[in-house]
Amino acid sequence: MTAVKILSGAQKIRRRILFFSLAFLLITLATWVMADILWRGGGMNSCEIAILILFTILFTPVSLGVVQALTGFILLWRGRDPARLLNRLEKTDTLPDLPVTAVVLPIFNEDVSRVYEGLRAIYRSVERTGHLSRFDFFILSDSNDPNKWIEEEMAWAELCKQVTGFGRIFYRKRKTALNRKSGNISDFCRRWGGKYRYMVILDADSVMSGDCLVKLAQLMELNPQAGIIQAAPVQALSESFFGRGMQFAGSLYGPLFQAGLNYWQADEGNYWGHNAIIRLAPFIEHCALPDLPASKTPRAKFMSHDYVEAALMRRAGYEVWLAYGLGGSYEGGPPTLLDMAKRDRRWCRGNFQHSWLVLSPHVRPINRMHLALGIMSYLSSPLWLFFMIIGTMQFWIVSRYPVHTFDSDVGLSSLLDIGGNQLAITLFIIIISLLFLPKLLSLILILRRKETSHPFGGRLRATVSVVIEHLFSMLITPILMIFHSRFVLGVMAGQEVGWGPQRRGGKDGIDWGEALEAYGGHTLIGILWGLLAWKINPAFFWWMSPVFIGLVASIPVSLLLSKVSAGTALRRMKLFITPQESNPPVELAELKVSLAVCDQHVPPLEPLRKNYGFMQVVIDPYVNAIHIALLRRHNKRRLDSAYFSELQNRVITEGPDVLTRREQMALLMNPECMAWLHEQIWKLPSEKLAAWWTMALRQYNVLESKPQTALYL
Amino acid sequence: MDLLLEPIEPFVPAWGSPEEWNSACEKLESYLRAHEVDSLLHRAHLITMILRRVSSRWKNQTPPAPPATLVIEETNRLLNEWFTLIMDLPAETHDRFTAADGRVALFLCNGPLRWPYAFLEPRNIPDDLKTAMRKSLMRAGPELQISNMVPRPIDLGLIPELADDTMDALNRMPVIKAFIGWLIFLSILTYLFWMTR
Repeated sequence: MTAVKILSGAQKIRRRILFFSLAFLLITLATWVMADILWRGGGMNSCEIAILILFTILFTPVSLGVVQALTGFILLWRGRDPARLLNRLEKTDTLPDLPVTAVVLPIFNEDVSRVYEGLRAIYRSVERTGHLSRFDFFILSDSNDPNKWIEEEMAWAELCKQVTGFGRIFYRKRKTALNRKSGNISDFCRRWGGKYRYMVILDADSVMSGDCLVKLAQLMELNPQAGIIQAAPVQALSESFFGRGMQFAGSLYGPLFQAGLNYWQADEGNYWGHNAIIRLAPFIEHCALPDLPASKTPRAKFMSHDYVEAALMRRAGYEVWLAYGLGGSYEGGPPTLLDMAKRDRRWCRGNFQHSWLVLSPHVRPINRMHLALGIMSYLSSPLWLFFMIIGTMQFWIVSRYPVHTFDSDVGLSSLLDIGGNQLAITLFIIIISLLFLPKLLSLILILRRKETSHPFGGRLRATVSVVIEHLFSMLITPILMIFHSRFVLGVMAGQEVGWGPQRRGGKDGIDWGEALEAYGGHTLIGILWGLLAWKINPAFFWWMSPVFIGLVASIPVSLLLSKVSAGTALRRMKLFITPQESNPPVELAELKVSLAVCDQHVPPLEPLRKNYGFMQVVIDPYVNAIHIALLRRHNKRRLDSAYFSELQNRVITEGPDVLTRREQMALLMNPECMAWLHEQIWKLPSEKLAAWWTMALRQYNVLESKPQTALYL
Repeated sequence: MDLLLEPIEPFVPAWGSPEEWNSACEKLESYLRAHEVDSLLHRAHLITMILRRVSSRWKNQTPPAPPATLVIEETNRLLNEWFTLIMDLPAETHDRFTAADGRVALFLCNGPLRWPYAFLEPRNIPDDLKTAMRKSLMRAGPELQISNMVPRPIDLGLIPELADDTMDALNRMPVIKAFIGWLIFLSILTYLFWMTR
């Protein structure tokens, strides 16, 4: 197939010149006004110079965001964008036949019900398109929690049974989770990458419609130069106040930013790690991650592999596209602010690792920009903090040593005939308006027609939702500023960040203890800083009050935001309604029903809960058999029999509690041990077994005679 | 009055105490339930059959273990034979994993649910059960097609290379690293001192 460029080189350059000129214009004008405000009494002191430099740096991402939103607004208003990738699909009369595509789902100690029910929804959706034979599904597990591992195996067998998916849905458990998620994907590529032309990568909470998957594969076929096509995921199925707020913001503002982003990046887009299709041959050849320089761990890889893989794909000459407007691509989101902060901690570390590549001559300029913007999204927090600390110092200096008056009539003030104070207020208002502008533009886009505002709850409710979302985002911003500043300092100090599963739903929010521990520092900083600001100058206190309010109220705000009950109440009032809620796509509706059934499951008895997976695999003949069958396929190594005999005897006479997770995993990895343990537990008289096993045997048959899996349909 | 009931041969264990056989009966029932033999009728039949076999096997010898252990061993032996028969495996392939393979096949074809009276019955095994179990295939992954995925060296440029070397050097010299930290802190204090004069 001949490759036809969607945009010529000259068109791309024209777009970028226009885009960045507008951003440059905004930055320079704002910097001029700021310099004018600071330049009083014949010059600037070092504090003022620092403030001006920081202001310019910090205003850059703001202006880029505003211009991106404006561009997106114009494109969506006109409803015509020649660089929209989907145009090619819509204009093609004969769609290509699809090669078999691998859909891979890397998981690590995730909520098994959520993962497998999500996969079931995707599988069913693909089945409905009539293209099921063109997709193979792979669950790639790195779980190191014995319970999760056993649950995953059983859920896989059960799901395959239920949807007749054997030979189409595959399960692989790595023995060693080398290089985390990127290592898991590379392992897949090395084993099976040669069989497939494309691979779609999902996240543990991703849901993609069959239509979306088919279109992605068709787009790849129509664009032989495309290396990666990213389908923009929309957050869905959130229930907490915070989650629904984020979901609403993503659904409403997302399309605007995506259209604007596509305007300047075009075929040099980015990869966000999941809900994307990848051309496997160039990925295998060019996108193996290089080792991280200067790492304490030898052969450590980049944590946020996606940006690097996009850069490597571009370096190899392939295009990376954002398929905005495609639809059918969903993801979960953190249910609380604290969960988002935990996620950001990992992302912050990952993004800072990219600083090694920003100056690499082998990285293309636009990828360099993506990497730099990723770093800046976290670095801006400590810079804002520093900016405000210096601002406080400057006010203190001015209040103690009034060398010049803020209202002296110079520069722009004299030209506009307003005092320096009024000029500062004007700049403040302009900046606040610019921050609100993308939200306003998104709102205008949906308000102009009844059919576009209805999915968001109608015109009035959509407007009220935007106002509430904006107020809460103002409260959250200083909280995140402190979190991100801590993370950045941690990264600079070389603190390691662990790899843990994300909480993607669950209980009704965080409790007071958790909130106090997480936000106690924020509150204290807010109170002390507020008192200091008041002492320096009450007017300065009022200027800074939005920051102080956010910090001081961080505990109650975070508690309220984490509540599922608050999210449900807002839903009853038809606030924060998204199109996925008002008119749920089949995949999400099915998933919701399945998860509701899973939630009704009675959890195992408390004493058995901790080792329930281990109990199942030892006691249940079918769980044991499936586990052994899966192990024997790749377990060829010699085993240290003395070590395993000792472990086996301990587990029988003292129960699984006495084994560490590592020891349990060692036993679980050994098919001989698992077959032997199953026999012994049933054969031995109760006096030779640990009391835990006697209770487990009694309870197992009383509670459930069938293997319990994460699927209950 | 004529008795209408036909005489039923009672099962009386030839050895062991009633408590031991009660315990064996209880354990065997649990084991069969764990195999999803949900039919009470069939379970009762299997229990009697297995208990009889164990009792008669050790009738004239000293049993090596209590009945509760021996009934599980007997059941596993029967399971191996039954699976070998159904899966049509040659006798020499019979190993400790035969039962595991058989159980997988039985689970995948929903055997205990679809054929509630067939479990462990060596005679009259339904043909469709045989076919279903032989067809039950659990493939965890397709055939491998190994690819070589090797990272290519990436030129980081002069500044990152220098930074890399510096950080390497600093990691080797923690005292110097701490000293640089003190210097930075001292510079901030000096700056604040100067600013507040």
